[in-house]
Amino acid sequence: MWNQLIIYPFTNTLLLLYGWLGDSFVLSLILLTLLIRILLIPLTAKQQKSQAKMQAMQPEIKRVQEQYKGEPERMQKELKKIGYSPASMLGGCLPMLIQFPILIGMYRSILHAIPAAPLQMVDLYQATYDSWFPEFHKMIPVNRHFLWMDLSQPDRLHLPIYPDVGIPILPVLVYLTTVMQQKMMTPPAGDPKDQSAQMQRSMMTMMPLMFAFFALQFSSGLSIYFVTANIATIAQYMYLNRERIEWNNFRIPGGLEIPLPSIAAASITSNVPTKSPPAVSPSNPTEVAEKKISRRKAKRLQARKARGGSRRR
Amino acid sequence: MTGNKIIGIVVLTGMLLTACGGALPATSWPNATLGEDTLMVSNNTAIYALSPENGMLRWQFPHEGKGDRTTNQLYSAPAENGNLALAGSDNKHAFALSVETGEELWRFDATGNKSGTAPTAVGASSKMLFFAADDTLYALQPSSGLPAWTVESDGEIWAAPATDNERVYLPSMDHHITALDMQSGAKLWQTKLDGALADTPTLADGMLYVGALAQHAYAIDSMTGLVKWRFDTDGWVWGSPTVSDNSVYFADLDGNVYALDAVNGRSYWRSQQLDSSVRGSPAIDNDIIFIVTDGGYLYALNARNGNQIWELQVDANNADRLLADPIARDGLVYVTAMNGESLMMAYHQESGQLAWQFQPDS
Repeated sequence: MWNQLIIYPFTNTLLLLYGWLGDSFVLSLILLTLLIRILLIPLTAKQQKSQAKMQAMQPEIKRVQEQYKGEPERMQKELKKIGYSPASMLGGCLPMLIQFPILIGMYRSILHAIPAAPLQMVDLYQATYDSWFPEFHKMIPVNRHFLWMDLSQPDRLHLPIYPDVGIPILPVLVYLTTVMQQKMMTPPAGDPKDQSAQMQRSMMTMMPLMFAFFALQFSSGLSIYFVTANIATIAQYMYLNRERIEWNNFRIPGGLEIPLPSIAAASITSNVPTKSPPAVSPSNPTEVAEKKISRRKAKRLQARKARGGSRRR
Repeated sequence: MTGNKIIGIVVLTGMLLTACGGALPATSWPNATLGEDTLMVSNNTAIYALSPENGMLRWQFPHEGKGDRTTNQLYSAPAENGNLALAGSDNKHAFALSVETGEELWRFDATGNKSGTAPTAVGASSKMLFFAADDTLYALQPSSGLPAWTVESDGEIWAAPATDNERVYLPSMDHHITALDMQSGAKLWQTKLDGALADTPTLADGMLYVGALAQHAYAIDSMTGLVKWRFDTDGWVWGSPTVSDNSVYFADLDGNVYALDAVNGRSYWRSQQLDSSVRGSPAIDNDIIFIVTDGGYLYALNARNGNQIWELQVDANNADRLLADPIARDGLVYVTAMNGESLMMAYHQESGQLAWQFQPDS
């Protein structure tokens, strides 16, 4: 059942694309990954939009949390009023969970499609659709090499000067792109002591490490899938939220800083009255957002004066 | 959904991925070889030497309790040269063992300081041992394990070469079969066929009979490399053809068995399609052909007309896969199973009755 529904269709599509793309398995893998991402857009787009909304609400959430620090029940009520739901805070990893059945299918399909061992070759013969490949024997052996990589083996780059040492290039790329994706799509926690915030932090540490571990253990074809899927997700997120994107430097453990897009808070307004504005640094998105809101208010006042002080209906 | 549940799902899914995918998925099936007096079976990372008469275990390698985990996945049954058996593991190491005791005599390292695994194959002639790893064939001296010569192929080598005392016939996954000089490894001729060659050619009466991962089987002149005839089949022909009394027998991955005239490739008969793929070579003894299938069945066919004499399901309780070549000798047929309750079984040729079975201690 699992074979017929997921693995065989993936395997045959990979091989079909391989033939069309000049016997390049990497291109075939990248294209199939992008096709899967496109098919998943209806599932992921809504999720990403709501995450972006949550991200933009952060200044409001912080303000309510500070304002009603000693009154937890009131705080919850006010947070609900501005449309905040704690369950949504954990939504950052849901698109990844959607990916898992596909991920398992992809892993098995990669092993099927580039048989590096006899048993996989027997299974490949049984998996292929005869009508799709009238001269399948000419495709065998499937070229599973790309640059330094054997796509059926875990990725290790052996430099001529240090032939004994294998550098895991793709697992590092998997880690970096997963961190970037998570950092972008997971809203910063309101209260760092909050249980959900702590969990969010541990998830953000665990998930990239877990994916990097998979990349270290499994075939590098799977790493190509990870990296492509991550980049596609980031691009989709940026496109869907292109009007609210801001670029900030993000520090990756190890001292590396990379510019990373984040969502500005400008488009979110609240009907909760502001007692006192929170102290923010000049680079804080809250300040930027409030400045933009003030400018709009000033414009509205000017327009009202021009109309003779009456409110527009 | 609470955060703990989400973390739980992530961890479980990770475990599922590991279980489903497996960092080290099985890459080959158990294989057996029958020497003069010893039946040797390779399974995963171990070799078992059994008595052919009753299946009693004589020794195993690595030896129990010695903690030698240097062997990885073994792709082929050990190849015998006198009292020496050569085994190769997918971490590109070859081991020479004493057939009598299983003691390791020497080992050969073909890793070249690089990690990684690859299918390996082992073969033996009276003068030389052969070990293939990745795309390289090593001719090893039986006494020392030192390479006499090495030859690189353009494609991976999944099967041992066929040999006579003067020449080595090397099949390769790049669709080529190459003849080499036994003493020097010099190339004598090379012929390109339509499909990848994943099993050892059969050498008989100056002809090489070989199946290809294409819908063809071939007969090639061993002196010149010229294709004498080609026979079209329904499915890929993986297993080596078996030659007996001027007839060639082989099967394809669609479950068809063929009998041809060895001289001109004319068809004598073709069996009814069997339950599933036939990966291995047919075994023949006393005019009975024994065939095993991926679906777990053992068939006995009449060699003269292909009619079925008997059939049996080796292990009805398990999804057994029979992918190794069966062996037929002295009234018994030996079957090596991949997923079943027993690793090795012996059946009486006439009746299909079970004579003995062997399963190593887990």
